[in-house]
Amino acid sequence: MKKITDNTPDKPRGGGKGSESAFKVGFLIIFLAYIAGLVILFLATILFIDFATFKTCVMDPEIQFSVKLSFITATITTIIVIIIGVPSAYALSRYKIPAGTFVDTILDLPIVLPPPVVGICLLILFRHPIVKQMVATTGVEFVYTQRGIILAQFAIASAFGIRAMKAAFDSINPRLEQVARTLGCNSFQTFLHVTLPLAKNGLIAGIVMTWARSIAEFGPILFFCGATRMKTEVMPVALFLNLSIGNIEMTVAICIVMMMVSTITLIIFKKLGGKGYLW
Amino acid sequence: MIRIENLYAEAGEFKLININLTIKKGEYFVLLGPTGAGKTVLIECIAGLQESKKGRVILEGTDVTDFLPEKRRVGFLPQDYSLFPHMNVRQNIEFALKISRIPAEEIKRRVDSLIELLQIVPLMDRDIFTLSGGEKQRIALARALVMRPQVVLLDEPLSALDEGLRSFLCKELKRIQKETGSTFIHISHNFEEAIDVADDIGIIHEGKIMQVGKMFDIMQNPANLFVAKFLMMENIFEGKAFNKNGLARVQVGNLNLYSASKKEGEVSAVIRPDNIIISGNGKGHFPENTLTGKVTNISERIGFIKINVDAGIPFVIYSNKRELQEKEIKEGREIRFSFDPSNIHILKD
Repeated sequence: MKKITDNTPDKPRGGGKGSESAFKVGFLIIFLAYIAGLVILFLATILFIDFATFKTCVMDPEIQFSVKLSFITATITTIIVIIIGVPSAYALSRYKIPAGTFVDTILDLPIVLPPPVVGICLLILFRHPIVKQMVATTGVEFVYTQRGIILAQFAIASAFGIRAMKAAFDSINPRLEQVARTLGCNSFQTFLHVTLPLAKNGLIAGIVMTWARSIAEFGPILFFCGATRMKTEVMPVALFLNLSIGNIEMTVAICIVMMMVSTITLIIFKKLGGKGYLW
Repeated sequence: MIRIENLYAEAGEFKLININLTIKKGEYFVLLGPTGAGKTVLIECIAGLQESKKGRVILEGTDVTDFLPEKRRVGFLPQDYSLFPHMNVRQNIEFALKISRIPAEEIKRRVDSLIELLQIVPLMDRDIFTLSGGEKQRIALARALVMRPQVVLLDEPLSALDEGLRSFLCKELKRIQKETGSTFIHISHNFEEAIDVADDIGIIHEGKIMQVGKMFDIMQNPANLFVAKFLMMENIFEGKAFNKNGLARVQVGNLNLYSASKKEGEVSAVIRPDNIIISGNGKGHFPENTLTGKVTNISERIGFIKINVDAGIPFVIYSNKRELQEKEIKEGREIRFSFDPSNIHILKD
């Protein structure tokens, strides 16, 4: 046995390359098998109907309506998220917020809550006498309306959008903003000329993310707006309605359209270097 | 002139305690201190990027303590230069002038004369990420100088650069400061850098200003033990001082050293190695402070030779090759050396 006082360095213990590559190959096989499983899962759906059937289904007025309604509501929701989300994300990124952990938890709640819960919360809120009174006075109805779809999408997608936008602001060194201040910019000019251009890609990624989440929303819409054919029938609702009456081909066609939309938005999100929550 | 009066500030674990400092117009001032001393907090207070708890910052007679950063006209060069990555070199330099809506001809006139002075004309259309560290520094300096600031604050501007470039850029910084007549406050932890550029130096430690003055004067007469240690002074001995016939007898171990100081009690005695005279075999130049010791090590440095001597306490003496040969100084031999009582500085903390 070596004494502690013996300072002779240990000799390199040769070999080990074999076990190193076995480790690497083993882990890679597990990962590739998982990816293959996912590809099979999606391919099974895509190959379930032929192209002619897919084309006929897509041309159906009901699908056309649902695609159009989904795109319009998701776009309006995204615009509202930009207006509210950009200042919120910046505040969250730069300023010390009182009761920070609590605020952070509230912000993440729509992300982790089962979506129907958010729908039920909205429904209950709009049953409250004060809110009911406000709706009666203004005549602006949300429950079981297309307007309600936007509110339901906003309730969930805004949290995803703000998270991604915050990540964009977090990635900018505040020193750059401080230097801009010493060069004569007030806080708004600094935001306009330094922060926004630098956060541009991350913000666009956040906007794409918000849009994708809005398109995919189902739970809160079902509870808050109902599933009425050709009225509140966004794509996920169309899926539900068609499946419930056994119209499998139509259901699969909508699935394929939604897979295409999701894939494209994800590619854009990743290309722009988007960060933040993706689930 | 920049005046800082009774300034208190706190930023995380860093704080400033009762800072009083006056920096003359057109001066190159170096704020020197170890990491965590509060140097950056102090220049952030001057720039308005950090709020002070108490005290005032006065720039050219105007109390700017409550001014926003954009109203102070203070140039700021962060450690990483923080050039705007979404703009090219020209856009970075012109940024402040465009924000202030200066007319295009005036922007061109100001930028052209400045880029010539800083020798960056060929870099003007380059992207920021293609620049070297030294080039980035010049662009950041140009960006700050173009708005003709009252003062330019440089936060460790040379720390990210390699040694060769560092001494070259020191000369350049000094030249630019002289030619523009600007007031520069440069913070650093490297005292050789300070010697190269500074007119005056302030030493800061644990949020307090320890000493302000010319480097030569500080080296000759450090205000306290921290300053002496920070400037890597050799021959710092702790002992007890007793006043005797107008001289202080400082007892260090078994030795008695005599100083012209009148301080008494627990003290530290500092003797600069270049103030020690090797006497050969004869009587020392200063009989009261003549000691004998054994040479334990001789090492060659750039421009001098460092001799370690054990005289009961370890002394360091600076010498040269000629003296070494003439006095036959070798490792293991005994030498006699002495020093003037007025060259022993007594520090009390």
